Amino acid sequence: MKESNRKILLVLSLIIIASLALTGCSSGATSTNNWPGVNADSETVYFANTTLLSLRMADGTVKWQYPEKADAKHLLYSSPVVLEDKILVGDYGGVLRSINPNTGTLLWTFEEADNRYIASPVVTGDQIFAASMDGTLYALNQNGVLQWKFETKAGLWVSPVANGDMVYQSSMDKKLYALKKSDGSLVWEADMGAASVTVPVLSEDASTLYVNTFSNKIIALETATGKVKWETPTNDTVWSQPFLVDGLLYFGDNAGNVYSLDSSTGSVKWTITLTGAVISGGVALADGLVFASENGEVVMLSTDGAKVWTRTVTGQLYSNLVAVEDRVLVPVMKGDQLLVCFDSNGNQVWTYTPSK
Amino acid sequence: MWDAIVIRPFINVLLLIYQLVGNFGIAIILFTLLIRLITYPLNASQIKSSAAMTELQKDKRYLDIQEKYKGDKEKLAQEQMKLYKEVGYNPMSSCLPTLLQFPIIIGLYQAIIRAMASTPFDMLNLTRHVYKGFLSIENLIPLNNHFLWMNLGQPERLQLGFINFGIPVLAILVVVTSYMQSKLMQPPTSGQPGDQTAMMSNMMTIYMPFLMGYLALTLASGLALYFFVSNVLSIVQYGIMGKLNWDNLLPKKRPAGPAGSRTINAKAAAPKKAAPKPAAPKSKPAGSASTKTNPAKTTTTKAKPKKIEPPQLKSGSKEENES
Repeated sequence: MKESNRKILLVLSLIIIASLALTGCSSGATSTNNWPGVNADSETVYFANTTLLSLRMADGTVKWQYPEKADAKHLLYSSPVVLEDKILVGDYGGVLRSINPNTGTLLWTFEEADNRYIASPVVTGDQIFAASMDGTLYALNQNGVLQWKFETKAGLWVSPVANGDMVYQSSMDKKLYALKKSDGSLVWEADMGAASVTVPVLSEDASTLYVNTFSNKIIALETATGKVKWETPTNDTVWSQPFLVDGLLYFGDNAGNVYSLDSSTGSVKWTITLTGAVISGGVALADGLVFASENGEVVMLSTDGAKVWTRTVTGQLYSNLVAVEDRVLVPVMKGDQLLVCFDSNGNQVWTYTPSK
Repeated sequence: MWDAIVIRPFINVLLLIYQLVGNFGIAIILFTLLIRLITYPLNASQIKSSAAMTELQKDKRYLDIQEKYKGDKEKLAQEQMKLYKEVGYNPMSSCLPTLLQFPIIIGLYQAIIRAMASTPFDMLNLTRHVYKGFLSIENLIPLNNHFLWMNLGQPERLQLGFINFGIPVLAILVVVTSYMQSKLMQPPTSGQPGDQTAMMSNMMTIYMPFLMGYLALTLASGLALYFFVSNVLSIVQYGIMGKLNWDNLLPKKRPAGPAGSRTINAKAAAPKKAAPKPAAPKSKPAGSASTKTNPAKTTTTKAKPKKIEPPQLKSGSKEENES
């Protein structure tokens, strides 16, 4: 090869390598990096991981996929909401979609948001509430028509909580807002001191909201006024979605601790430390509580905090676990298998591995 | 290792600046400026060294060596090294600062990407990169990603009321400043036919702005902002050192004598067509840039030493072809 040709090839190669390096380095900059969102009913599992997959609960085989090919501008990661006549799922392009659950075809879209949906929508009565990263909570009717919207000062990373006449929304602007469902008017707002990345949990009698914050605290507030009832410190940041069973709150933290708290006083009943950070929210089955740590450890704990069984999944576990009857679904990031279904005895029922 | 030594400290400095100024766009600008100031001596050394090399390439001794040993690469390299020693030039002096800067630039780039976390997974990773006790996640989050009309975590488009599409202002600025940077920093060429440095510079001048523009168009605007600021700071640094080559940027008349790279390529082009008839080049001037380069290669590789007179004559023939 001639010397000059070689030099030109060298320059072209350098440009190509530079472009690959730059685009390769920037995967985070193009919003393609997140853990999957999952929801399920007794028949079907809906798995959002760039596209939305409908899988048979019986064996994990694919029913349909929406869209057929992932759209880089409209990636689907947030957990879908499953209703009788539709599935609602928000995408990373700021579009909320209503999809036919039987066929996987699009029914309608709502496109007013200026930023992505990370949080799942919430449906109550005849209203849909969709929290967007543009900092706005949108209230829609069942046909996707906007009823009202409420703007906060930072992105909404988590779903609202609806109860009675009220809807409660935690924002990254460090505040918790209580709004009227009918018109979105503000009833009260509470300064939480730090942002939160978990959905507030409503007590069984709807008198209390439990909120985790980046200040390493779990805070209980009165739903009527927003006043703080109690605060309990955690050892590390809480990403794991808390859940409430029989008056006890359960969640994990970034240091791998799993907590059981008395929801009326905030006192710690017990803690247990897993082998890795607990980022995903756990679930309650009839036989116990199931938690997963980031490094692939899946454990069932008794309500006293004793380990019942431990299983290992290859990959990283960040998404909230999903319980359906006596089964638990474990979504996986960076693994060959993207979804693993266990029964309550820890037996693997099926796995979903995407075709290459 | 890379993460602990480069990325994590960079992210913490960037976030510290953000905490002080409260705006991520300004934090990116100040952080880029800070890194540029830290690497200024390395850049300056590289610029000086490149300038010295450019000067050396015009030296008659250098040109003579190129001509004399063009068929024997080994000997050519030996003679070049001898000449470098004679004039006190260290060929590593331009490579070393570049090599040292490379990890810093990559680290800067990656730190900006990671700090613009806009998904839960990215946010989780970001919180894990913050030094506890140095910065407080509680105070840092939420990160204000808005700067002017841009959301720095998203590709940038300026929406104007009277048109129904967004204008990628930042991508356009990146293309323009990348082009200006390449042109202004392109050293004067050696004057040799088929000057490969000139060819490579020309190619980079054409392709790099488009590559950078494409990246700015499609990636998060925080990165596009970094590209733009980085380009401007490079131009400013060259300006401070008096090395900006405005002649490359401004349109100029075709000189009568040996000068810019285009002329050199044109000179080089002619002999190919005219090889059997030395007088012909006058009547066959080279046309487009693409036809200029190939003939130059042919001239070099066919190497008909008998036809080529001593270096002085070769220079003379170049001038003749030019005119």
